[in-house]
Amino acid sequence: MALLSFLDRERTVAKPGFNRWLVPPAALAIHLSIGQAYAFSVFNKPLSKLVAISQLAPTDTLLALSQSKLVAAVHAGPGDWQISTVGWVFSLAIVFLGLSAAVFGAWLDRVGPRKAMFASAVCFGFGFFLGSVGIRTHQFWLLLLGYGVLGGIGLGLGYISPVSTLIKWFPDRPGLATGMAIMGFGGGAMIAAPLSVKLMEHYHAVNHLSPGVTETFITLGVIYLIYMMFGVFTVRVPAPGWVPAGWVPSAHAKKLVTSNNVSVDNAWKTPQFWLLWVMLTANVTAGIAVIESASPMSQDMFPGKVTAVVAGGFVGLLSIGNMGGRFLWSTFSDYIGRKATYLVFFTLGPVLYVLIPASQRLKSLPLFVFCCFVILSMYGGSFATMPAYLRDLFGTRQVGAIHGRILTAWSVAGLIGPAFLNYLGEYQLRHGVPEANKYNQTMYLMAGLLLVGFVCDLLIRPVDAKYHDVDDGTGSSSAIPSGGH
Amino acid sequence: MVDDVRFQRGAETPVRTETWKLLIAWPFVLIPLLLGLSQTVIKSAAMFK
Repeated sequence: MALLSFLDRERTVAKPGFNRWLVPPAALAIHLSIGQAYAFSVFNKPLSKLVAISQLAPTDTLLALSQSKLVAAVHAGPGDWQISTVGWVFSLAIVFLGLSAAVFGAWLDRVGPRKAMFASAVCFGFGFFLGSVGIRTHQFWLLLLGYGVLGGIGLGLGYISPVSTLIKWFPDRPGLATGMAIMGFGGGAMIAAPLSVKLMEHYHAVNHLSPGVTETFITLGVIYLIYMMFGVFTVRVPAPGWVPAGWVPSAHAKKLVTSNNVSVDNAWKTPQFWLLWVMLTANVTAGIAVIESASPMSQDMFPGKVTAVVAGGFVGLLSIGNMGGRFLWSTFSDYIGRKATYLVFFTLGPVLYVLIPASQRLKSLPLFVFCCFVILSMYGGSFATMPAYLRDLFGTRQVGAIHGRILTAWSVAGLIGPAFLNYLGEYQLRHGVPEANKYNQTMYLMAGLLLVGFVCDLLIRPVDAKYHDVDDGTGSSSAIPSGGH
Repeated sequence: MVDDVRFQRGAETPVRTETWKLLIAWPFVLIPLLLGLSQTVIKSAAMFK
Protein backbone atom coordinates (compact mmCIF):
# COMPACT_ATOMS: atom_id res chain seq x y z
CA MET A 1 0.00 0.00 0.00
CA ALA A 2 2.91 2.34 -0.76
CA LEU A 3 0.52 4.26 -2.98
CA LEU A 4 -1.36 5.40 0.08
CA SER A 5 1.70 6.18 2.17
CA PHE A 6 0.98 9.90 1.83
CA LEU A 7 -1.81 9.26 4.31
CA ASP A 8 0.58 8.17 7.05
CA ARG A 9 0.88 10.28 10.15
CA GLU A 10 4.62 10.76 9.61
CA ARG A 11 3.90 12.37 6.24
CA THR A 12 1.53 14.88 7.81
CA VAL A 13 3.85 16.32 10.46
CA ALA A 14 4.11 20.05 9.78
CA LYS A 15 7.46 21.54 8.83
CA PRO A 16 8.73 24.50 10.84
CA GLY A 17 6.94 27.68 9.89
CA PHE A 18 3.72 25.93 8.85
CA ASN A 19 0.85 28.33 9.32
CA ARG A 20 -1.58 26.73 11.75
CA TRP A 21 -4.44 28.81 10.31
CA LEU A 22 -4.44 26.39 7.36
CA VAL A 23 -5.79 23.64 9.59
CA PRO A 24 -9.24 25.15 10.30
CA PRO A 25 -10.11 25.31 6.56
CA ALA A 26 -9.07 21.64 6.28
CA ALA A 27 -11.37 20.81 9.17
CA LEU A 28 -14.15 22.97 7.76
CA ALA A 29 -13.96 21.20 4.39
CA ILE A 30 -14.75 17.95 6.17
CA HIS A 31 -17.43 19.31 8.48
CA LEU A 32 -19.17 21.40 5.80
CA SER A 33 -19.45 18.20 3.76
CA ILE A 34 -20.71 15.82 6.41
CA GLY A 35 -23.07 18.52 7.72
CA GLN A 36 -25.12 17.59 4.66
CA ALA A 37 -26.72 14.97 6.87
CA TYR A 38 -28.90 17.62 8.52
CA ALA A 39 -30.36 18.41 5.09
CA PHE A 40 -31.34 14.84 4.29
CA SER A 41 -35.01 15.71 4.84
CA VAL A 42 -35.11 17.46 1.42
CA PHE A 43 -35.09 13.94 -0.07
CA ASN A 44 -37.90 12.60 2.11
CA LYS A 45 -40.82 13.55 -0.12
CA PRO A 46 -39.24 12.67 -3.49
CA LEU A 47 -38.08 9.33 -2.06
CA SER A 48 -41.60 8.56 -0.88
CA LYS A 49 -43.08 8.94 -4.40
CA LEU A 50 -40.55 7.19 -6.65
CA VAL A 51 -42.86 4.36 -7.75
CA ALA A 52 -45.80 6.67 -8.39
CA ILE A 53 -43.66 8.99 -10.53
CA SER A 54 -42.09 6.10 -12.43
CA GLN A 55 -45.57 4.86 -13.36
CA LEU A 56 -46.63 8.13 -14.97
CA ALA A 57 -47.03 7.87 -18.73
CA PRO A 58 -44.24 9.64 -20.66
CA THR A 59 -46.90 11.94 -22.08
CA ASP A 60 -48.41 12.86 -18.70
CA THR A 61 -48.64 16.63 -18.32
CA LEU A 62 -47.52 16.37 -14.69
CA LEU A 63 -44.02 15.47 -15.90
CA ALA A 64 -43.67 18.90 -17.44
CA LEU A 65 -43.93 20.51 -14.00
CA SER A 66 -40.86 21.49 -12.01
CA GLN A 67 -39.50 18.73 -9.76
CA SER A 68 -40.90 20.23 -6.55
CA LYS A 69 -44.34 20.77 -8.10
CA LEU A 70 -44.32 17.27 -9.56
CA VAL A 71 -43.50 15.75 -6.18
CA ALA A 72 -46.22 17.83 -4.54
CA ALA A 73 -48.80 16.88 -7.19
CA VAL A 74 -48.21 13.14 -7.30
CA HIS A 75 -49.71 10.88 -4.64
CA ALA A 76 -47.59 8.06 -3.25
CA GLY A 77 -48.49 4.79 -4.94
CA PRO A 78 -48.59 1.20 -3.73
CA GLY A 79 -45.04 0.00 -3.16
CA ASP A 80 -43.76 3.48 -2.41
CA TRP A 81 -41.72 4.01 0.74
CA GLN A 82 -43.52 5.83 3.58
CA ILE A 83 -41.95 9.11 4.73
CA SER A 84 -41.66 7.61 8.22
CA THR A 85 -39.74 4.69 6.68
CA VAL A 86 -37.42 7.03 4.78
CA GLY A 87 -36.78 8.82 8.08
CA TRP A 88 -34.90 5.72 9.23
CA VAL A 89 -32.12 6.47 6.77
CA PHE A 90 -31.17 9.64 8.64
CA SER A 91 -31.65 8.02 12.05
CA LEU A 92 -29.42 5.10 11.10
CA ALA A 93 -26.77 7.50 9.80
CA ILE A 94 -26.74 9.31 13.16
CA VAL A 95 -26.58 6.02 15.08
CA PHE A 96 -23.60 4.95 12.96
CA LEU A 97 -22.05 8.38 13.42
CA GLY A 98 -21.96 7.80 17.17
CA LEU A 99 -20.92 4.16 16.93
CA SER A 100 -18.11 4.72 14.42
CA ALA A 101 -16.82 7.73 16.36
CA ALA A 102 -16.67 5.54 19.46
CA VAL A 103 -15.12 2.53 17.71
CA PHE A 104 -12.61 4.30 15.47
CA GLY A 105 -11.56 7.11 17.84
CA ALA A 106 -8.52 5.23 19.16
CA TRP A 107 -7.55 4.22 15.59
CA LEU A 108 -7.73 7.88 14.57
CA ASP A 109 -5.37 8.91 17.36
CA ARG A 110 -2.95 6.22 16.20
CA VAL A 111 -2.98 6.80 12.43
CA GLY A 112 -3.50 10.55 12.42
CA PRO A 113 -6.16 12.81 10.91
CA ARG A 114 -5.26 12.47 7.22
CA LYS A 115 -5.93 8.76 6.99
CA ALA A 116 -9.13 9.13 9.02
CA MET A 117 -10.33 12.02 6.84
CA PHE A 118 -9.56 9.99 3.72
CA ALA A 119 -11.54 7.03 5.08
CA SER A 120 -14.36 9.41 5.98
CA ALA A 121 -14.44 10.90 2.47
CA VAL A 122 -14.46 7.48 0.84
CA CYS A 123 -17.21 6.16 3.13
CA PHE A 124 -19.33 9.29 2.79
CA GLY A 125 -18.90 9.53 -1.00
CA PHE A 126 -19.47 5.83 -1.63
CA GLY A 127 -22.40 5.94 0.78
CA PHE A 128 -24.07 8.26 -1.70
CA PHE A 129 -23.14 6.03 -4.63
CA LEU A 130 -24.48 2.87 -2.98
CA GLY A 131 -27.55 4.82 -1.86
CA SER A 132 -28.16 5.90 -5.45
CA VAL A 133 -28.17 2.25 -6.53
CA GLY A 134 -30.74 1.60 -3.80
CA ILE A 135 -32.91 4.45 -5.08
CA ARG A 136 -32.53 3.42 -8.72
CA THR A 137 -33.49 -0.20 -8.00
CA HIS A 138 -35.94 0.80 -5.25
CA GLN A 139 -34.19 -1.46 -2.75
CA PHE A 140 -34.59 0.22 0.62
CA TRP A 141 -31.98 -1.97 2.32
CA LEU A 142 -29.37 -0.72 -0.14
CA LEU A 143 -30.24 2.89 0.67
CA LEU A 144 -29.97 2.05 4.36
CA LEU A 145 -26.66 0.27 3.85
CA GLY A 146 -25.31 3.03 1.61
CA TYR A 147 -26.29 6.32 3.19
CA GLY A 148 -27.25 4.98 6.64
CA VAL A 149 -24.38 2.60 7.44
CA LEU A 150 -21.51 3.51 5.10
CA GLY A 151 -22.37 7.21 5.04
CA GLY A 152 -22.93 7.15 8.81
CA ILE A 153 -19.44 5.72 9.34
CA GLY A 154 -18.13 8.53 7.12
CA LEU A 155 -19.99 11.02 9.30
CA GLY A 156 -18.50 9.66 12.52
CA LEU A 157 -14.94 9.47 11.21
CA GLY A 158 -15.20 12.91 9.63
CA TYR A 159 -16.72 14.48 12.71
CA ILE A 160 -13.93 13.48 15.07
CA SER A 161 -10.94 13.43 12.72
CA PRO A 162 -9.98 17.13 12.76
CA VAL A 163 -10.98 17.88 16.36
CA SER A 164 -7.99 16.56 18.29
CA THR A 165 -5.62 17.96 15.66
CA LEU A 166 -7.13 21.41 16.08
CA ILE A 167 -6.83 21.18 19.84
CA LYS A 168 -3.14 20.40 19.46
CA TRP A 169 -2.60 23.31 17.05
CA PHE A 170 -4.49 25.77 19.25
CA PRO A 171 -3.58 25.00 22.87
CA ASP A 172 -4.10 28.69 23.59
CA ARG A 173 -7.62 28.78 22.11
CA PRO A 174 -9.05 25.24 21.95
CA GLY A 175 -12.65 26.41 22.15
CA LEU A 176 -12.24 28.77 19.21
CA ALA A 177 -10.50 26.08 17.16
CA THR A 178 -13.04 23.31 17.70
CA GLY A 179 -15.88 25.81 17.41
CA MET A 180 -14.71 26.76 13.92
CA ALA A 181 -14.72 23.14 12.75
CA ILE A 182 -17.92 22.05 14.42
CA MET A 183 -19.62 25.22 13.18
CA GLY A 184 -19.08 23.69 9.75
CA PHE A 185 -21.28 20.74 10.67
CA GLY A 186 -24.10 23.18 11.40
CA GLY A 187 -23.40 25.14 8.23
CA GLY A 188 -23.19 22.10 5.96
CA ALA A 189 -26.96 21.74 5.82
CA MET A 190 -27.33 25.35 4.73
CA ILE A 191 -25.22 24.54 1.67
CA ALA A 192 -26.61 21.07 1.02
CA ALA A 193 -30.32 21.87 1.21
CA PRO A 194 -30.48 24.48 -1.58
CA LEU A 195 -27.81 22.62 -3.58
CA SER A 196 -29.77 19.36 -3.46
CA VAL A 197 -33.03 21.08 -4.41
CA LYS A 198 -31.35 22.80 -7.37
CA LEU A 199 -29.71 19.56 -8.51
CA MET A 200 -33.01 17.66 -8.39
CA GLU A 201 -34.70 20.45 -10.37
CA HIS A 202 -31.87 20.40 -12.91
CA TYR A 203 -31.91 16.63 -13.44
CA HIS A 204 -35.68 16.59 -13.69
CA ALA A 205 -35.51 19.36 -16.31
CA VAL A 206 -33.00 17.28 -18.30
CA ASN A 207 -35.03 14.07 -17.99
CA HIS A 208 -38.73 14.68 -17.28
CA LEU A 209 -39.27 11.01 -16.46
CA SER A 210 -36.95 11.22 -13.45
CA PRO A 211 -37.47 13.05 -10.14
CA GLY A 212 -33.70 13.55 -10.16
CA VAL A 213 -32.91 11.93 -6.81
CA THR A 214 -30.62 9.18 -8.10
CA GLU A 215 -28.60 11.61 -10.20
CA THR A 216 -28.43 14.09 -7.31
CA PHE A 217 -27.08 11.38 -5.00
CA ILE A 218 -24.33 10.53 -7.51
CA THR A 219 -23.45 14.19 -8.02
CA LEU A 220 -23.33 14.89 -4.28
CA GLY A 221 -21.13 11.82 -3.80
CA VAL A 222 -18.64 13.14 -6.37
CA ILE A 223 -18.74 16.72 -5.03
CA TYR A 224 -18.22 15.70 -1.40
CA LEU A 225 -15.52 13.17 -2.26
CA ILE A 226 -13.51 15.89 -4.04
CA TYR A 227 -14.26 18.63 -1.52
CA MET A 228 -13.25 16.45 1.42
CA MET A 229 -9.97 15.62 -0.34
CA PHE A 230 -9.07 19.28 0.09
CA GLY A 231 -9.16 18.67 3.83
CA VAL A 232 -7.22 15.41 3.45
CA PHE A 233 -4.33 17.08 1.62
CA THR A 234 -4.29 20.29 3.67
CA VAL A 235 -4.35 18.90 7.20
CA ARG A 236 -1.08 18.69 9.16
CA VAL A 237 -0.28 17.61 12.69
CA PRO A 238 2.12 19.64 14.82
CA ALA A 239 5.57 18.26 15.52
CA PRO A 240 5.92 16.72 18.99
CA GLY A 241 6.37 19.43 21.56
CA TRP A 242 5.28 22.22 19.21
CA VAL A 243 3.72 25.28 20.84
CA PRO A 244 2.58 28.54 19.24
CA ALA A 245 5.29 31.20 18.99
CA GLY A 246 5.40 33.29 22.11
CA TRP A 247 2.78 31.24 23.89
CA VAL A 248 3.52 30.31 27.46
CA PRO A 249 1.03 28.16 29.35
CA SER A 250 -0.57 30.17 32.14
CA ALA A 251 1.44 30.04 35.34
CA HIS A 252 -1.82 30.13 37.26
CA ALA A 253 -3.08 26.69 36.37
CA LYS A 254 -6.86 26.45 36.27
CA LYS A 255 -8.20 23.81 38.61
CA LEU A 256 -9.99 21.82 35.92
CA VAL A 257 -7.33 22.13 33.22
CA THR A 258 -4.84 19.30 33.45
CA SER A 259 -1.35 19.14 32.03
CA ASN A 260 -1.49 15.34 32.32
CA ASN A 261 -3.02 12.84 29.93
CA VAL A 262 -5.61 10.14 30.47
CA SER A 263 -5.89 7.24 28.02
CA VAL A 264 -9.23 6.49 26.42
CA ASP A 265 -9.47 3.21 28.31
CA ASN A 266 -8.97 4.97 31.63
CA ALA A 267 -11.18 7.94 30.73
CA TRP A 268 -14.01 5.47 30.24
CA LYS A 269 -13.66 4.49 33.94
CA THR A 270 -13.77 7.98 35.41
CA PRO A 271 -16.94 9.55 36.82
CA GLN A 272 -16.08 12.71 34.89
CA PHE A 273 -16.56 10.92 31.57
CA TRP A 274 -20.01 9.71 32.52
CA LEU A 275 -21.04 13.06 33.99
CA LEU A 276 -20.10 14.71 30.69
CA TRP A 277 -21.92 11.95 28.81
CA VAL A 278 -25.14 12.63 30.75
CA MET A 279 -24.69 16.39 30.24
CA LEU A 280 -24.34 15.99 26.49
CA THR A 281 -27.27 13.58 26.33
CA ALA A 282 -29.46 16.01 28.29
CA ASN A 283 -28.57 19.04 26.22
CA VAL A 284 -28.85 17.25 22.88
CA THR A 285 -32.12 15.51 23.78
CA ALA A 286 -33.62 18.85 24.77
CA GLY A 287 -32.32 20.55 21.62
CA ILE A 288 -33.61 17.80 19.35
CA ALA A 289 -37.07 18.21 20.88
CA VAL A 290 -37.12 21.78 19.56
CA ILE A 291 -35.42 21.03 16.21
CA GLU A 292 -37.80 18.19 15.40
CA SER A 293 -40.91 20.15 16.28
CA ALA A 294 -39.86 23.66 15.22
CA SER A 295 -42.03 23.94 12.14
CA PRO A 296 -45.27 22.29 13.40
CA MET A 297 -44.85 23.75 16.90
CA SER A 298 -44.63 27.33 15.60
CA GLN A 299 -47.72 26.79 13.43
CA ASP A 300 -49.72 25.06 16.15
CA MET A 301 -48.86 27.56 18.87
CA PHE A 302 -49.45 30.65 16.75
CA PRO A 303 -52.23 29.68 14.31
CA GLY A 304 -52.92 32.41 11.79
CA LYS A 305 -49.68 34.20 12.57
CA VAL A 306 -47.28 31.47 11.42
CA THR A 307 -47.96 29.98 8.00
CA ALA A 308 -46.00 27.12 6.42
CA VAL A 309 -43.78 29.65 4.60
CA VAL A 310 -43.09 31.60 7.80
CA ALA A 311 -42.39 28.31 9.61
CA GLY A 312 -39.82 27.50 6.91
CA GLY A 313 -38.15 30.82 7.65
CA PHE A 314 -38.26 30.03 11.36
CA VAL A 315 -36.48 26.71 10.77
CA GLY A 316 -33.84 28.57 8.77
CA LEU A 317 -33.39 31.04 11.60
CA LEU A 318 -32.88 28.19 14.05
CA SER A 319 -30.18 26.67 11.85
CA ILE A 320 -28.37 30.02 11.96
CA GLY A 321 -28.62 29.90 15.77
CA ASN A 322 -27.34 26.32 15.77
CA MET A 323 -24.37 27.21 13.59
CA GLY A 324 -23.54 30.53 15.25
CA GLY A 325 -23.80 29.01 18.72
CA ARG A 326 -21.18 26.43 17.85
CA PHE A 327 -18.62 29.12 17.19
CA LEU A 328 -19.65 31.76 19.72
CA TRP A 329 -20.25 29.59 22.79
CA SER A 330 -17.09 27.52 22.34
CA THR A 331 -15.02 30.68 21.80
CA PHE A 332 -16.67 32.22 24.86
CA SER A 333 -15.68 29.11 26.84
CA ASP A 334 -12.00 29.99 26.30
CA TYR A 335 -12.60 33.05 28.47
CA ILE A 336 -15.03 31.86 31.16
CA GLY A 337 -14.09 28.15 31.25
CA ARG A 338 -15.97 25.07 30.09
CA LYS A 339 -17.71 24.35 33.38
CA ALA A 340 -19.10 27.87 33.56
CA THR A 341 -20.23 27.70 29.93
CA TYR A 342 -22.20 24.51 30.59
CA LEU A 343 -23.60 26.05 33.77
CA VAL A 344 -24.96 28.85 31.57
CA PHE A 345 -26.55 26.23 29.27
CA PHE A 346 -28.11 24.43 32.21
CA THR A 347 -29.45 27.53 33.99
CA LEU A 348 -30.54 29.66 31.05
CA GLY A 349 -31.83 26.60 29.16
CA PRO A 350 -34.56 25.55 31.66
CA VAL A 351 -35.77 29.16 31.90
CA LEU A 352 -36.12 29.36 28.12
CA TYR A 353 -37.91 26.00 27.88
CA VAL A 354 -40.43 27.13 30.50
CA LEU A 355 -40.86 30.42 28.65
CA ILE A 356 -41.93 28.63 25.43
CA PRO A 357 -45.39 27.67 26.76
CA ALA A 358 -45.55 31.10 28.43
CA SER A 359 -44.90 32.81 25.11
CA GLN A 360 -47.92 31.02 23.69
CA ARG A 361 -50.11 32.13 26.62
CA LEU A 362 -48.83 35.70 26.19
CA LYS A 363 -49.33 35.37 22.40
CA SER A 364 -45.80 36.71 21.98
CA LEU A 365 -44.23 35.35 18.81
CA PRO A 366 -40.98 37.37 19.28
CA LEU A 367 -40.50 35.80 22.72
CA PHE A 368 -41.11 32.33 21.27
CA VAL A 369 -38.62 32.93 18.45
CA PHE A 370 -36.03 34.36 20.85
CA CYS A 371 -36.31 31.35 23.21
CA CYS A 372 -35.97 28.80 20.42
CA PHE A 373 -33.09 30.69 18.81
CA VAL A 374 -31.05 30.83 22.04
CA ILE A 375 -31.89 27.19 22.84
CA LEU A 376 -30.57 26.11 19.43
CA SER A 377 -27.44 28.22 19.89
CA MET A 378 -26.80 26.35 23.14
CA TYR A 379 -27.55 23.01 21.46
CA GLY A 380 -24.78 23.73 18.95
CA GLY A 381 -22.61 25.23 21.65
CA SER A 382 -22.73 22.07 23.74
CA PHE A 383 -21.36 20.04 20.80
CA ALA A 384 -18.62 22.53 20.05
CA THR A 385 -17.50 23.10 23.63
CA MET A 386 -17.34 19.40 24.53
CA PRO A 387 -13.94 18.62 22.88
CA ALA A 388 -12.31 21.49 24.78
CA TYR A 389 -13.91 20.29 28.03
CA LEU A 390 -12.51 16.80 27.37
CA ARG A 391 -9.10 18.24 26.64
CA ASP A 392 -9.20 20.22 29.91
CA LEU A 393 -10.03 17.12 31.94
CA PHE A 394 -8.21 14.33 30.10
CA GLY A 395 -5.35 16.07 28.27
CA THR A 396 -4.67 16.14 24.54
CA ARG A 397 -3.07 12.75 23.91
CA GLN A 398 -6.22 10.70 23.26
CA VAL A 399 -8.80 13.44 23.19
CA GLY A 400 -9.97 12.29 19.73
CA ALA A 401 -10.77 8.82 20.95
CA ILE A 402 -12.44 10.09 24.12
CA HIS A 403 -14.48 12.54 22.06
CA GLY A 404 -15.52 9.66 19.83
CA ARG A 405 -16.75 7.66 22.80
CA ILE A 406 -18.73 10.56 24.22
CA LEU A 407 -20.54 11.04 20.93
CA THR A 408 -22.52 7.87 21.69
CA ALA A 409 -24.56 10.32 23.77
CA TRP A 410 -25.65 11.87 20.47
CA SER A 411 -26.89 8.52 19.19
CA VAL A 412 -28.86 7.94 22.38
CA ALA A 413 -30.29 11.47 22.33
CA GLY A 414 -31.19 11.02 18.66
CA LEU A 415 -33.36 8.09 19.63
CA ILE A 416 -34.94 9.32 22.87
CA GLY A 417 -35.40 13.00 21.90
CA PRO A 418 -37.91 12.45 19.09
CA ALA A 419 -39.52 9.59 21.04
CA PHE A 420 -40.19 11.89 24.01
CA LEU A 421 -41.64 14.49 21.71
CA ASN A 422 -43.87 12.20 19.67
CA TYR A 423 -45.19 9.93 22.40
CA LEU A 424 -45.76 12.69 24.94
CA GLY A 425 -47.50 14.82 22.30
CA GLU A 426 -49.74 11.94 21.23
CA TYR A 427 -50.49 11.05 24.85
CA GLN A 428 -51.63 14.57 25.57
CA LEU A 429 -53.80 14.76 22.46
CA ARG A 430 -55.47 11.48 23.49
CA HIS A 431 -56.28 13.09 26.84
CA GLY A 432 -57.99 16.07 25.27
CA VAL A 433 -55.17 18.62 25.42
CA PRO A 434 -55.63 21.21 22.64
CA GLU A 435 -53.22 21.01 19.69
CA ALA A 436 -51.63 24.35 20.65
CA ASN A 437 -50.77 23.09 24.15
CA LYS A 438 -49.51 19.61 23.34
CA TYR A 439 -45.87 20.74 23.46
CA ASN A 440 -46.06 22.24 26.95
CA GLN A 441 -45.36 19.10 28.97
CA THR A 442 -42.47 18.19 26.69
CA MET A 443 -40.91 21.62 27.24
CA TYR A 444 -41.25 21.27 31.03
CA LEU A 445 -39.76 17.79 30.84
CA MET A 446 -36.81 19.12 28.83
CA ALA A 447 -36.30 21.89 31.40
CA GLY A 448 -36.12 19.16 34.07
CA LEU A 449 -33.66 17.19 31.99
CA LEU A 450 -31.39 20.21 31.76
CA LEU A 451 -31.46 20.53 35.55
CA VAL A 452 -30.04 16.99 35.70
CA GLY A 453 -27.25 18.25 33.46
CA PHE A 454 -26.76 21.20 35.80
CA VAL A 455 -26.19 18.85 38.75
CA CYS A 456 -23.77 16.74 36.70
CA ASP A 457 -21.76 19.83 35.71
CA LEU A 458 -21.58 20.96 39.33
CA LEU A 459 -20.18 17.55 40.27
CA ILE A 460 -17.28 17.76 37.80
CA ARG A 461 -13.92 17.73 39.58
CA PRO A 462 -10.39 17.21 38.26
CA VAL A 463 -9.67 13.62 37.25
CA ASP A 464 -8.01 11.57 39.98
CA ALA A 465 -4.23 11.24 39.48
CA LYS A 466 -4.51 7.43 39.52
CA TYR A 467 -5.99 7.63 35.99
CA HIS A 468 -3.14 9.73 34.56
CA ASP A 469 -0.72 8.19 32.05
CA VAL A 470 2.54 7.30 33.79
CA ASP A 471 4.80 8.74 31.09
CA ASP A 472 3.38 12.23 31.31
CA GLY A 473 5.66 15.18 31.03
CA THR A 474 8.35 13.34 29.14
CA GLY A 475 7.50 14.20 25.62
CA SER A 476 4.46 16.09 24.65
CA SER A 477 4.77 18.77 27.27
CA SER A 478 8.34 19.73 26.49
CA ALA A 479 8.19 23.09 24.83
CA ILE A 480 10.19 23.42 21.62
CA PRO A 481 9.95 26.97 20.28
CA SER A 482 9.01 26.13 16.71
CA GLY A 483 6.86 29.14 16.02
CA GLY A 484 3.89 29.22 13.67
CA HIS A 485 0.68 31.18 13.65
CA MET B 1 19.24 21.94 15.99
CA VAL B 2 20.16 22.74 12.40
CA ASP B 3 16.50 22.92 11.49
CA ASP B 4 15.78 25.14 14.44
CA VAL B 5 18.53 27.58 13.55
CA ARG B 6 17.49 27.66 9.93
CA PHE B 7 13.96 28.36 10.97
CA GLN B 8 14.86 31.01 13.48
CA ARG B 9 17.01 32.89 10.98
CA GLY B 10 14.25 33.00 8.41
CA ALA B 11 11.32 33.08 10.77
CA GLU B 12 9.35 35.49 8.60
CA THR B 13 9.99 33.72 5.29
CA PRO B 14 7.89 30.59 5.69
CA VAL B 15 4.96 32.65 6.88
CA ARG B 16 5.07 34.94 3.86
CA THR B 17 5.33 32.07 1.41
CA GLU B 18 2.28 30.42 2.92
CA THR B 19 0.06 33.47 2.75
CA TRP B 20 -1.11 32.40 -0.72
CA LYS B 21 -2.22 29.09 0.72
CA LEU B 22 -4.36 30.92 3.26
CA LEU B 23 -5.80 33.07 0.48
CA ILE B 24 -6.92 29.95 -1.34
CA ALA B 25 -7.91 27.81 1.63
CA TRP B 26 -10.17 30.21 3.49
CA PRO B 27 -12.28 31.36 0.51
CA PHE B 28 -12.58 27.71 -0.53
CA VAL B 29 -14.54 26.98 2.62
CA LEU B 30 -15.99 30.39 3.43
CA ILE B 31 -17.59 31.11 0.03
CA PRO B 32 -19.88 28.02 0.07
CA LEU B 33 -20.64 28.66 3.73
CA LEU B 34 -21.58 32.29 3.12
CA LEU B 35 -23.63 31.35 0.05
CA GLY B 36 -25.54 28.80 2.12
CA LEU B 37 -25.93 31.28 4.95
CA SER B 38 -27.28 33.99 2.65
CA GLN B 39 -29.86 31.54 1.24
CA THR B 40 -30.94 30.73 4.78
CA VAL B 41 -31.11 34.38 5.78
CA ILE B 42 -33.30 35.12 2.74
CA LYS B 43 -35.55 32.21 3.72
CA SER B 44 -35.63 33.38 7.33
CA ALA B 45 -36.69 36.85 6.25
CA ALA B 46 -40.16 35.35 5.74
CA MET B 47 -40.44 35.41 9.54
CA PHE B 48 -40.33 39.19 9.58
CA LYS B 49 -42.57 40.04 6.60
